[in-house]
Amino acid sequence: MVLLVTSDNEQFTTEREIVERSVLIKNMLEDVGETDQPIPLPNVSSSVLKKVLEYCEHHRGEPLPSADSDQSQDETRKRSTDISEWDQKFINVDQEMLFEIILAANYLDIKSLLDVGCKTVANMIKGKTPEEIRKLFNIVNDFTPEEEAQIKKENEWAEDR
Amino acid sequence: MASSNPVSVEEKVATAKQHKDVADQAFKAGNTKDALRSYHQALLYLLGLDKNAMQGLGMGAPPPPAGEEVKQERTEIDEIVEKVYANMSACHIKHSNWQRAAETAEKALAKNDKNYKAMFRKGKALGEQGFFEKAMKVLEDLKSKSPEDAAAADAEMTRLRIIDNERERVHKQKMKGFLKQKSLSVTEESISS
Amino acid sequence: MASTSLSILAIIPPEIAEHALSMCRVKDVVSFSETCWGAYRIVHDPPPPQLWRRLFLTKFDDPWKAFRIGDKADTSAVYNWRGVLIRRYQAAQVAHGKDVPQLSRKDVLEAFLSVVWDIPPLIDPKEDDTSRNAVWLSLTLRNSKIITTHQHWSDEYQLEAQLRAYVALGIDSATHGPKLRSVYSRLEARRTGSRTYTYNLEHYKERNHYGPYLYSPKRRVNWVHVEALMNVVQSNIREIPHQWAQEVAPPVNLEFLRANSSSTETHNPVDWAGVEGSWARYVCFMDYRELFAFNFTSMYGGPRNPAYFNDPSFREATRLIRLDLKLTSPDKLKFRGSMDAGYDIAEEQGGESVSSTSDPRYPTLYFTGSSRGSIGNEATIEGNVRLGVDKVPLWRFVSIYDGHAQWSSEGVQIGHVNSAMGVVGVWTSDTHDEGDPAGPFWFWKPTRPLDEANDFM
Repeated sequence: MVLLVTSDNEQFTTEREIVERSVLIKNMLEDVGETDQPIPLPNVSSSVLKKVLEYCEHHRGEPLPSADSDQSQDETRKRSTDISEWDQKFINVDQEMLFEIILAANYLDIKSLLDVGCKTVANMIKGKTPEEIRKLFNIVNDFTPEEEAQIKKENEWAEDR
Repeated sequence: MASSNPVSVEEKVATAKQHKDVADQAFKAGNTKDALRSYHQALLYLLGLDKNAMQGLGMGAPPPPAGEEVKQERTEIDEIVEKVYANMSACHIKHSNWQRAAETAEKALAKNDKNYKAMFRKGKALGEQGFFEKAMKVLEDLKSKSPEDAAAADAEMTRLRIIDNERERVHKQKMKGFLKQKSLSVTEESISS
Repeated sequence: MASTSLSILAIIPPEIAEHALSMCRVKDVVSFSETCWGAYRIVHDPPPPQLWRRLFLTKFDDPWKAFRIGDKADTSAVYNWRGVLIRRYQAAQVAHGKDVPQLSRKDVLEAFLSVVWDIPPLIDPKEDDTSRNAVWLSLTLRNSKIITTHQHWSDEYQLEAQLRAYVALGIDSATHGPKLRSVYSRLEARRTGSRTYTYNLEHYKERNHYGPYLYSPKRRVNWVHVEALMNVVQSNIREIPHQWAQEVAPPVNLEFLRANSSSTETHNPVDWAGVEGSWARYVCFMDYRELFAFNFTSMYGGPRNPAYFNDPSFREATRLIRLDLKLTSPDKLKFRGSMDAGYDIAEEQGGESVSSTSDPRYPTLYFTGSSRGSIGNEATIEGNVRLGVDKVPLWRFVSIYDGHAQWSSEGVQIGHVNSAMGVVGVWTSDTHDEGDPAGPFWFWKPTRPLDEANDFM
């Protein structure tokens, strides 16, 4: 069993096989072995870690992506539409939690979870106008009208495609 | 989340530095396992910090004055992460854990592609894993970029070449009987050479 | 804490934003970049190569996997993913009538041809790895002016004709389906012009090496000529009763431009051009009296008035021939001299050569074989295939009857090396006397060898 401590000092006990979905922790356990010392996760809060562990538990035992292989070609082949049903339900959270999960997945190095989060963001943006994207993500338009017109002109090549 | 987190970025960086110092001492004393443990502790504090430093980006007009400060902090975190990974690579080399040595060297290089120590370790670790071509490429690269490390790179390349030749010789011997049976035509042989 | 007031960009570091954007469609990434300066900088300033590479690869094949001849690919070079993507998108806009002042028509044609050149070779036919470039060209050029107009679209006749030679027939059949007897307005509209060009005996002179070449000392492909030849053969095939022609027709889908897309049962590594095996060859010709009348008399306001072909009773003959070829050494050939005429063999074989065509991986291949038609007239074939100065495989062979070379053929590979689309060219008399006949041909490797009982009329 592995003991984890979150930024808000909550302790989580979990199985090694589950927590090793995180390549960061997997490497650590492999490099130095298991100890009864808790592993501090000062950059993850308990509410987020709970979600992350839920994901890891569901996907336990699945093969981890190899570190060096160039998979980008395959990745681009199966695009944002291919989030599995369970993952879709799992990631159906409010925007703040979505971003927290993405950050935690990045921190803990859980590539498949990072991808699920990023694909979800991609699906949210899909087909939206710049104004709709601003509303969606609370982005403040800091262009002057001239700058905005100039940038739209620069991007004309992407129209109607 | 920022509010629920009692520790500031500065405090986390300070904690990470403490772990790194402990690790560095352990490494000097030859306790590579202890060193690795503390380096990992440092990483747990350092990684994932970038987001906090990124506040402000996209909020205002082109680079706000605070941006420079932010950049400064980012660089410092990056620098420590780079050093931690480079040192972890050294630990793994001591343990002949070549795959992890190459991985961590790579991470250090991702933060700073001029970390020549990490570059050497990456080359060596790749060579030890049998990735001869890749190793040569890295070491040649090192040689051309850092004259100071040229001699070490050359020595390592010579060593790897000997290992590779030996490997080749054994392989050829195994293939010899096979080739004889196949009796490839002259043209086919000239193509494959 | 009211963290909901924070914008996405304040929470997500740029490298993760980049990662998320790389899973978006190009259009969405561009829309995102138009929301604020922070977003603009992540996408465009400077453009992150990984992001643009991923976006590029959603639409196009990886150019590093393309089949290249001669030029040593500089792997250390930085590929301008964003720049090339933008150029191709703009070319597509121009092809559909939009005005993009930065691009000349030459730029546009070159952009499309670069997409053809970057089509990767077929590695394993069993694997389903459709070329994205082929799909993109097909979708983008369908209904575009470059393909549909039968006036010239730009002053760059050669580039335009080359592009059409590669893609137009494939797009026709994708658009209209496989109904071979249906009338294709595009091809119909081009048929007379193509016949006029193809059967003009002025186009078979020494100055163009009696083939579809430009007037230049070395054989440079005349794509206007090749396009005309393809149209003539294809139009004629479509008039053949379809029960068997459906099966015996050269494949024109853009996938078949790929290197090594031709079916080869036994692959000999020396045979880079895919010479060995059984081929199907359509040969078309005009009745000699008609050919003479068209070229040298004033019938229909001639000589060589396109109106000659408007007579609805006019028809050409089309014959199907089976070729069986195998590689041989050049000194076993009786007619090697005529095959190598016009080439500097020493230059081709010498290592010091500066010629861009002498790629040691693709040496000139010599072959011999047989040619059998429906009437059973069998000829011996001797020939060779080499890379021309345009880096296109050029085929040249003679048909020998009773020890005499009677016909000589000059063909151009359509697509990359060993493409399934095959070879299009012209046959002429080997003596090349004034007024001798000439006509088009197209040969390719059918999925199964032709057999006399079923395939020959």
